[in-house]
Amino acid sequence: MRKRVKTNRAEKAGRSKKTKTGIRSRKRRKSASRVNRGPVRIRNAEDPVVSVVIPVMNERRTLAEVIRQAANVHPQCEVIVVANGSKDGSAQLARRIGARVIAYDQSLGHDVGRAIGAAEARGQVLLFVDGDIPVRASELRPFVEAIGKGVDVALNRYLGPVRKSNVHSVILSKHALNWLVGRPDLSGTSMTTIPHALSRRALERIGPEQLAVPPKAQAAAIANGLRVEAVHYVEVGARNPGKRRRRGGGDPVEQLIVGDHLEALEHWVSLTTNRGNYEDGNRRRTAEEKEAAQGGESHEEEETR
Amino acid sequence: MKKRRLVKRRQAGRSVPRNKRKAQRGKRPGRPGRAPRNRLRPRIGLWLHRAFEAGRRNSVTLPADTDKAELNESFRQWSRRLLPNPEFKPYWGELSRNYLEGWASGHRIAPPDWVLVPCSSRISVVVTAMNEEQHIGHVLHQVQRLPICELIVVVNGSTDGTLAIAQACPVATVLHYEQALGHDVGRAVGAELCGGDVVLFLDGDLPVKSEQLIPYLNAIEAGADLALNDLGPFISTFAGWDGVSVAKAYLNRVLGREDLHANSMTAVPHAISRRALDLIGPDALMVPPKAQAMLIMHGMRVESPFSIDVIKHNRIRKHNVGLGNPVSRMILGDHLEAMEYVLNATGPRFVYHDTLRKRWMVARKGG
Repeated sequence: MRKRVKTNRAEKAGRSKKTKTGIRSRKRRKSASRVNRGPVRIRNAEDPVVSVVIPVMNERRTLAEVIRQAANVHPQCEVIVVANGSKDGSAQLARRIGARVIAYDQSLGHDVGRAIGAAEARGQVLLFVDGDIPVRASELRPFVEAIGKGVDVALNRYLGPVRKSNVHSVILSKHALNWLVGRPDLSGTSMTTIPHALSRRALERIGPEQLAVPPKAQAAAIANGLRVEAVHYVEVGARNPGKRRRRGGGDPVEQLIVGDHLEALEHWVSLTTNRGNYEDGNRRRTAEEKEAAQGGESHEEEETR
Repeated sequence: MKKRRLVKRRQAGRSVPRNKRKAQRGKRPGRPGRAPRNRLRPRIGLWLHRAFEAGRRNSVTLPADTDKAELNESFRQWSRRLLPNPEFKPYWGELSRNYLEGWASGHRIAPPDWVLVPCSSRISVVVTAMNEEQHIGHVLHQVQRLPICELIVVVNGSTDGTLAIAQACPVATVLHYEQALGHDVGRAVGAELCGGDVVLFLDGDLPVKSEQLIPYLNAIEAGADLALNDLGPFISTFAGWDGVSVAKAYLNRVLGREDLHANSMTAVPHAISRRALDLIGPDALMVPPKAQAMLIMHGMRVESPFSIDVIKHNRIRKHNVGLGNPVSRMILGDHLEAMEYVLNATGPRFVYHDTLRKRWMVARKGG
């Protein structure tokens, strides 16, 4: 309705119709999928260096843009779309565009798509993105470059809203995991967050099935002595449709991620010691040690009031 | 005629005629400009005066040589109605002082330097110290002002005059270990000896006025099992937190106690009830986060009733500053031990189960 009125006004005022909203109009049409740029077609390389894994459920609106940007990351690149439980034609759309599609009728759950895609990937660098958050290729290349320079796990520097006293449980979990495994330099970065990249060596050491629980994979990577670093900042909070949804008494994804981090800590403790390689502060825990601390003479003075 | 009278009244400043004001009873504004007095909020000044009067009244039955315990009991009898009311929380020190002054004035003596608490339970205090000759005297003096039933001082690894000062204290039971026991072990050793219904833990380097310890004792008296120090007012926004605070907040959050923020048994002062201590055993206190996790998981009542600024008092020593300092690392290890306890008791994901994922669908490619 509104657009029609505008064109009428433009006609009446004698303005040219070069753009739909008039030349001098400051309003720009925002569209995530940029349909005006024509059909998207990509070609997967025969021998890819970079494999981009995109787990997808129902992301028809944004998927074309995500795939296009992913394909532009590297000349020798393949895009793997793992469509699970897709009912809006995302899988067909991805096939039409030319990506390698692995489709499942049922939803497999969070992050399982990443694991499946990683198992199928052929590249030396694995880049993980989400189907509903388009990230420009120029923002994705730093992750690939970092892997090329020897980093095994290249993470997004994004931390989320931390300038408050009561942070979200997911943010707290990510920070706590990194502190507890001895990597405070990683702050609140995590393999839960996209985009991030993995080297082939990291994938082989961790195993693709671990990627289904990203914090656990992160703990496994650190325990394995792999090089894990936060390399580039990509703002993903505002665009994450899940985060904008208001939490109503126990957001199930929040509970899932908190549990993932607990699983990661359990895994870490099983790989290290029950104190995670931290020192015990010279505590004398047993009765014999306490006796020994008393020294030559023990003083016990009791004076009643 | 009536209209003129009504107009006169309105001009006099009353917006509502007198007979209509009856309907608004309870919402009377009082003098213009003044907010209505909340009838539920007690008048503190009045109660302070009443405390003085009660003390003076009771000086008839309590002679001048009454000991602290009896006087405390009479104060508790008088003030037991006030204990459940949180409005009085900052004023217990003054109530106690007024009561003492009233009692002393009845005998025309100087009021003794005591602090009375509205608690019937027997109070034990455990003070751990290494090299604290500067502060331990003050700490012990403040503790002795309270109506405690036992005071245990654990001096370990001391090379200065701490032991002498502790031994000079007439009511203290001093445990002396020539070598250091390690962090928090002193608390466990002291707690083992305690017989009271409430055990209050203090450090020898933290001088705290007795009045500030009353809320912790009151909380246990009111039914709590663990009364923690609330560090909330002294902690910055999350972006500036150190690893220890993050770990403390994480443990509380995972256990479903987001309201406890980053409060922890690692910090002093805190008080524990006899029931809680018997449940976990004194040895558990050697790893404070683990003890806290045990208490929360067993359904004990944990609160943080009061805030004492321990952060600015913390002496800067070479082993507790900087990223990766040994004390910080040890506390992180403690939290891992606590997490390991929680996960062993329940499962690798505690109560946050994963019902959404179909993990078995991932097959390793090529083995």
